[in-house]
Amino acid sequence: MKTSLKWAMMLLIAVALAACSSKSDDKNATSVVGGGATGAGVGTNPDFDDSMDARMAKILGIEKNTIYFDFDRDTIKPEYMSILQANADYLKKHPNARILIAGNADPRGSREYNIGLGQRRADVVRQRLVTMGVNANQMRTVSYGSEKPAVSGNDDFAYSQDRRDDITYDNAG
Amino acid sequence: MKKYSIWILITTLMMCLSSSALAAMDIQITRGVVRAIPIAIVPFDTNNPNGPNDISRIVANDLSHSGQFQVMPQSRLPQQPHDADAVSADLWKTLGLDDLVIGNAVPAGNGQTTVNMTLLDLFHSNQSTPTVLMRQSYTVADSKMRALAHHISDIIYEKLTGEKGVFSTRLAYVKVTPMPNNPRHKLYALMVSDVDGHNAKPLLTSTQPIMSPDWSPDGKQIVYVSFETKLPQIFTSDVATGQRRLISSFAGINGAPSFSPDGRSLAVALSMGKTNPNIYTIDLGSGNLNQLTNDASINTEPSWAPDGQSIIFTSDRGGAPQIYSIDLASKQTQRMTYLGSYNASATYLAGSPTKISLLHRDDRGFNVAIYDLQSGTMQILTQGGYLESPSPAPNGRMIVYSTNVGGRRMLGMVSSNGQVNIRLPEVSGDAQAPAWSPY
Repeated sequence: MKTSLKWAMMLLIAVALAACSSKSDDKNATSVVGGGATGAGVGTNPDFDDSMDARMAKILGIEKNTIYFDFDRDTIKPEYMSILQANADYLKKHPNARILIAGNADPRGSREYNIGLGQRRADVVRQRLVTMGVNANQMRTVSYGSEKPAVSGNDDFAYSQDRRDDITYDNAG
Repeated sequence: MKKYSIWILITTLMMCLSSSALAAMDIQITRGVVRAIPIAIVPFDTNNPNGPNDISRIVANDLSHSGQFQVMPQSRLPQQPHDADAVSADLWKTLGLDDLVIGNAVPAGNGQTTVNMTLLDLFHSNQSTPTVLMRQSYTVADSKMRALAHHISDIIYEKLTGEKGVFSTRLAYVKVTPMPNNPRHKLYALMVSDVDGHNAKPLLTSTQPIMSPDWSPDGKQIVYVSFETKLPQIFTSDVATGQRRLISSFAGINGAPSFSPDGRSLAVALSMGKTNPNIYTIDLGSGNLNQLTNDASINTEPSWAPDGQSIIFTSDRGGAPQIYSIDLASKQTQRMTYLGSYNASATYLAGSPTKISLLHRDDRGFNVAIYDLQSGTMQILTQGGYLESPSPAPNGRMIVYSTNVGGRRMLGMVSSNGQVNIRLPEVSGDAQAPAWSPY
């Protein structure tokens, strides 16, 4: 709540600044913009912010709640099993905890096809956590495809950072 | 409630930012032209030459970007006449010119300007007097000057090629910019601009990704994917009013929406809580779903055949993404592409029923190509290697795409004959997922 208030303040200031410098033809934009407030209608997710991610990583005893994948693969490499085990242990001990597993692809190729690749990566981790004994109801998955690259750049290192699952806690339980 | 108020703030912020930033958009020609119609656009007689609303400059840009015209550079014009009597036809004909555009712009009071344009035929005329092919006069508000210039480009294009021009159409695309004060977070905006990148305005903004815009056949609606709840949903927005309608919010993937040619249904990719998406149609009137594919591979990017009887889509059922076609009545499926290990993002090219534009990968990376379904030939149109989201113009003569330039995504356009390739640089952020409007 505090964070979002701070955000709103920062944005207000930014809006004020932008309004000062904007030109007269900006007025046209108002008639076109109408989106914003209609039609959303799915649930009440708390905001995941960095501090929540950082706090959970600390509790889980891991550096970062992220699992990386090889090119064109959705197999979980052995070095990431400890991260999954830490999440599984926590989720089993805290039945009210809820996570979102977000699968991602590197930015090459078709965006919608990459959504498919990211979903495979998200679901393979979800399935592994189920076999580790986590209740399926504690987990949601989503694919962001190549819409949320971890780093910008078009080299193999950047791509290796982009091909990942981010696990975030909606609710620490 | 709290979420929405922040959203509205962001929308306001984006409106201010985007309209000032995009005003500086410019066009770069990256390749030359061969075998196009030679034409000269003489700078119009105006008291505001080279201003942002310089009609003759906009017309010259439009025509040269189409790939159908070779526009003579201003520095090589042998004379700069403003009416037909002053044109020395033989002077132009020795330079190989077929057609000449002349005109003027005169203030008409009340913030209006009268624009006169004349299209002259040099090729079929005797040496002393050029033939007048077309003469038009318009009196419009100064704010409509760019629109008028694009209209003039359209009528010249149609007169000389026999096809409709696309210079008055629009683009929808997604613009991604770093959040002020927190560059790790992004702002996503669904933008609508003129076809040359000018006049860009946000139709919607969000702190979560927006994907895959597609225009309704009447140009009044845009359908797209929004992750505003952190999960994907499909919405339509009314382009004029911004009014939104939630179309699809099933478990898992809600993606790749595509309007049917009659505008009554959408084809979409839905995973229905499973891992792999399948192709469905949604009747926009009744909301009825019709499942077309049913297998455990990625099936996505549906795009309708012009007759509405079949849909082409991307599937990796053969091990790698390729283009397939499914007949709506029989559900009979046919693989369409075999060349190369990756073909995706296919759309039928207007005006040529056997050709599709697509994203094709070879050893040079991902490029825009045209594939002829009849002859089985693949014509690769670009060389960048980092291209995505090809979307053809409604006359099939140009294709807009997104590419990587110096670490940022920009829009580009390539003519379907591969001869002209231009960029529409963004001043800041990334421009991606373009969709060309209908006429």
